[in-house]
Amino acid sequence: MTQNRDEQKLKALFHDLRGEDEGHTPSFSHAWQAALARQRVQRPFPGNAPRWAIIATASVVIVCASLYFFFRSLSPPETPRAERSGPVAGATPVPERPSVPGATAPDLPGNVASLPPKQVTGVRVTHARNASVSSHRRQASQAAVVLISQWRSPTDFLLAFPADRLLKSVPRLNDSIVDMNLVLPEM
Amino acid sequence: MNSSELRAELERLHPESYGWALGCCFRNPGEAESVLQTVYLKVLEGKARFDGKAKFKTWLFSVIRNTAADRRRRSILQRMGLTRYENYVPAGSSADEPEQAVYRSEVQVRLVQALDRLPERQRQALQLAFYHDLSLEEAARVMNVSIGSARTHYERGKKRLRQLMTESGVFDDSESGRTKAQSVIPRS
Repeated sequence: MTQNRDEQKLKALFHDLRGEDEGHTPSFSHAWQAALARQRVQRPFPGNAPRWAIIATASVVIVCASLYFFFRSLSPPETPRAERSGPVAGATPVPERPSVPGATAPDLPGNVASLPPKQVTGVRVTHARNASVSSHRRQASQAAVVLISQWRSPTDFLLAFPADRLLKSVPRLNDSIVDMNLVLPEM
Repeated sequence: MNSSELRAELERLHPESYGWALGCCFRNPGEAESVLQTVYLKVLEGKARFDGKAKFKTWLFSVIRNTAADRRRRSILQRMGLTRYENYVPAGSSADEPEQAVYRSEVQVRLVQALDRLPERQRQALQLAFYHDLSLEEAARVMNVSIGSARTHYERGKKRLRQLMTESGVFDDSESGRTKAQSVIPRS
């Protein structure tokens, strides 16, 4: 009984609150027009693109950048420009092959031998680049082996002492004591 | 439902939608209006579509609740709880007698403060049942919970609200049925 009465009271209070709120409700047309305006504003700008589109674009950019840097790290070091693009102004020109007048290649359709020697183009150098890279690597490894065999320790001199000659050479018969005294430290 | 019918239905339910949005936004009028605009925008863009499985009002209230919850999650200020029901100041109706208006305002403030002390689910269950006259089944649909759960929230919320209203002096423990608030207001 009391519970029902309280329920009725609560209902009455809520209805009062509802009446109060309805008195301050903004007009529907205002809210609708605002929504339409927001729709018009949101469409043309990519900043309001869906979240998945932004994430997808960012992922593609990151993957492309990673691949670029990965393949860049794998590629061999750049060869000097002079090697790739032929003779440089001021450099010693490559002597031309002397053309023999009248010399022809009988099995070829034209007089190929009399044609001027071709310039080394970038395309041909690019094809030859892989071979030059492998030879570079081979030379570098050989140089490293040579360097290791010639290496001497900077503290090597500490191991040397005046009596080295006596210890590192076989004594010979009839060797002079005078010579021995030269190397022995004075007592 | 075509767009003109949709608009007419939204317009018919607009005052109630605003009341529900207020309830979902800690009675912040600006926030409630913004939530309603976002809901209308969702409807316009087809992000929220009425599939006819429930009543239109239930569906709309569900969209409003989800939109308000999403907005609240994003808002740092709301997350920190800086704007709550304590800021609620009822405007009062100019048609009322001044004395009656004061009484109404005071009772409403106490009701709103008591609601603020309830858990969100209980508050929403009570508002849907008492404010919007929805059945428990419809309230459960709006809140996206089972009917049993909605009933539990409703019963617990009602009990707690009654207790809080009694503590604040609006409800009286006596059988007289007259509220304390009525006796507190001086009568000329």
